[in-house]
Amino acid sequence: MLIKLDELPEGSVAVIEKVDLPEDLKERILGMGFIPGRRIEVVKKAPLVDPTVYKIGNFRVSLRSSEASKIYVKPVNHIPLFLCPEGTVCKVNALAYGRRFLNELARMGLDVGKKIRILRNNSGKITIEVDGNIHTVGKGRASKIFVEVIE
Amino acid sequence: MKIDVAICGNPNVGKTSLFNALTGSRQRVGNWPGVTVAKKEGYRYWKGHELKFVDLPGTYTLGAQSLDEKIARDAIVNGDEDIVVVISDALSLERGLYLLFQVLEATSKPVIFVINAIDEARKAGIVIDKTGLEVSLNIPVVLTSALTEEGVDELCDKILEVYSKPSIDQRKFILKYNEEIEQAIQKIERELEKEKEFDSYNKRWIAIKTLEGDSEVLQLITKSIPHLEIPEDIQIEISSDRYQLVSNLLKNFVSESSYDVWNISDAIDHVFTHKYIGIPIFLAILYMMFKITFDIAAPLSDSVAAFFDWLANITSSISPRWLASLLSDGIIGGVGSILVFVPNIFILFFMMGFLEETGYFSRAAFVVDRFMYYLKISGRSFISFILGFGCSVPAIMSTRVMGDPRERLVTLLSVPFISCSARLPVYILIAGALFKNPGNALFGIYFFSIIVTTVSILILNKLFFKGTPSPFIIEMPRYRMPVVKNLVIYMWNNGKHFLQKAGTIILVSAIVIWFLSYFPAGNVENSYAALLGKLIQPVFKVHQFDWRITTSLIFGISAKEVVVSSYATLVGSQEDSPDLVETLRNSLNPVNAFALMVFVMAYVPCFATLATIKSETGSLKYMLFSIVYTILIAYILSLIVVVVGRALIA
Ligand SMILES: Nc1nc2c(ncn2[C@@H]2O[C@H](COP(=O)(O)OP(=O)(O)OP(=O)(O)O)[C@@H](O)[C@H]2O)c(=O)[nH]1
Ligand SMILES: [Mg+2]
Repeated sequence: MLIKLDELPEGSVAVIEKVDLPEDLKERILGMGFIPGRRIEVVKKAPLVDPTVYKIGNFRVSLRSSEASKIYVKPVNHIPLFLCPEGTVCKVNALAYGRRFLNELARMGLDVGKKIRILRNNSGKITIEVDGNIHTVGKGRASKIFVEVIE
Repeated sequence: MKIDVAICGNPNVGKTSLFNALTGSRQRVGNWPGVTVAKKEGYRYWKGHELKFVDLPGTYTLGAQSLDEKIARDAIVNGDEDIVVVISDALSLERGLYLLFQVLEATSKPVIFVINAIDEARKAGIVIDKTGLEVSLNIPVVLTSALTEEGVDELCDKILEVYSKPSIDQRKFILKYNEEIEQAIQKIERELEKEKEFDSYNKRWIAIKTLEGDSEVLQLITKSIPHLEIPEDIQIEISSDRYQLVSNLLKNFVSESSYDVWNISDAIDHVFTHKYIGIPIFLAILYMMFKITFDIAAPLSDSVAAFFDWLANITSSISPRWLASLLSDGIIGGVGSILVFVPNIFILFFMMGFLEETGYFSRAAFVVDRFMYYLKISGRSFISFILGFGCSVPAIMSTRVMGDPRERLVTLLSVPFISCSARLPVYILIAGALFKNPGNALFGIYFFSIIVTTVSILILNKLFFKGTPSPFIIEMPRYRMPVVKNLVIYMWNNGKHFLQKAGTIILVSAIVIWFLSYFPAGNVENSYAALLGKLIQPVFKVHQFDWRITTSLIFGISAKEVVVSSYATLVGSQEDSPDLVETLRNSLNPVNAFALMVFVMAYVPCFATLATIKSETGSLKYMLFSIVYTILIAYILSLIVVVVGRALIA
């Protein structure tokens, strides 16, 4: 499953799959090492979320999300929640920014380090169990919650 | 014998530092990508030969997009140098080798590969098998450090050696791509062979660039070969192949570092680009910069002032009387009033040098980029604006790195609103005379200048250019501890212009002003200078500037410091030779004093800046536009300050 590079939160590791930029820009980006198959790390988001510093090899470069959103990657260390199959248990590794979004999660009792059980995952909605409580989240939200599958 | 050598490489790998070490020049260096934007030449005599080095702007690939990259690429591909030196950073050899392969494809000249910053690589425990690389690449490899000057002589030796070798011996390494790519290359090569006009071209390179979708090359060849099929995704395959080879070389010949060289940098970044405190830290840094400029320099300035007072006292007793007046009021009064600010300006440049050398520039651009996005420009422009606090000329030059001509024009026409160091004397004189807390007034005017620049960007975007924000791709260099020697060179390089100006344009205008104030009547009140000032005084009726100020403003068009020197001469040549600060206090109040500061901040960039605008845009039109535009903005803003200020006080 491919996701856009700019959707990954800080600390994510991913493998580049596709670079979909205009020719000139693509040549530049490729020359900097953004080549399919290579590992990329999300180092730092700017204070206002955009741009982001990425690390590729020993090279750190800042990209705006307008460019990063044209680079498709496969997450390595964690995946967005909506990719988790039913029945799995996973641990929340990272959350994307967004004050309202984070507040909402806090109300559900969801935070980094929490364990989640996926009860249902179909038709664009995901039903999860957190601390014995059951919640339903939409696909949009679920793509901003990054988890590591543990069983 | 004379040997010409081109120096190229990725940005920020130390090309200019090495160039300086090779030639004894003192070109600008800084720990951020894009410092060098023009070709620079230097010489070294080595074992009976004259080596001419050409330092080029940095570039990641040969697919040049911005002006600085085009300069580098043209020199590599079409330049008439004898030898090309490709410089790479020992800690990011990956990118260095990638560029090396491109250069080897593009040129038939001998190439030498230099691995710089070897001092840092050693500290990190990285071991590079130089001979192994030499054998694999079939070209000489030299390890250097611009810091310790290690390897500099060896590089010169290698240049002689390569030059004297017959060209048959210089079989370089040529990268073979995978079968599919090679076939596509050969197909285009065959097409090119049919056309006469490509006889002198390196066909393989043209073919590869075509496949990579290089817009310039495509333009060149589609005229003769209109229907070319370029297989999809071949661009990515080419890059992959290059990187594959790069990583094989690295695996075989370069050891991993024993610890993460980025540890410290990451820790520093954690603070300086922090989600919440990143922006406040940036503002605090700016504030401190100007605070220190004012505070530390104050006692130094006082002693310079005392020295010139003493000197003027001596010369004022010379006869004849007119000569005494020319010397003490005109020259010493005028030029001396400017030299008083030498400490401020040198300290300001010292601190700017510090920011540049640490690597903070890229971070500042990163932190504020989002704001720039709303202005439809990028963090790149922001670096030009920061440079503008020093001097507008290099700031305007630095816009060459922008790929988007729209962004470039908007930036270079707005840079003059950033308060350069030449405006500092005016601010300090006025703020010191009229405000209880001059430091805050100073920060106020700098802040104001940032606001005006922002507004100018918005206006220019609206006026001329409609478009989407340009991309922002900038490398984050690792932090470095600045070397004091480099900082002193930086400070001297930039500060010396100020001294040169004092000896030229300021001196001349001081003499002219003195003449105008002495003749025809021998007293200032009825002089030509007074006449001139009174002529345009009505324009500033609301501002209530006296004629001395308006005369000074006219002369200040040449260079902003001249506002101060002219004023000093005009005041000094009065009968009773009153005190400069005292006179200012009597003729201005805090409100119109601030309006004067605002006017000087914004009105007509100095001659040097105007000339740069003309040469960088290649058109007189933009220069004239800049003159009218800045005067208009300066006038309106200062008017607003006066009106609003009076209303607030009343
Ligand atoms: N420790 C160390 N630092 C170096 C060495 N060479 C350059 N530097 C530092 O690296 C930074 C970049 O140097 P520059 O010479 O400006 O690099 P450049 O390649 O000319 O950069 P651009 O003109 O921007 O492409 C500066 O801060 C230098 O002080 C070196 O051999 N060792
Ligand atoms: Mg340079």
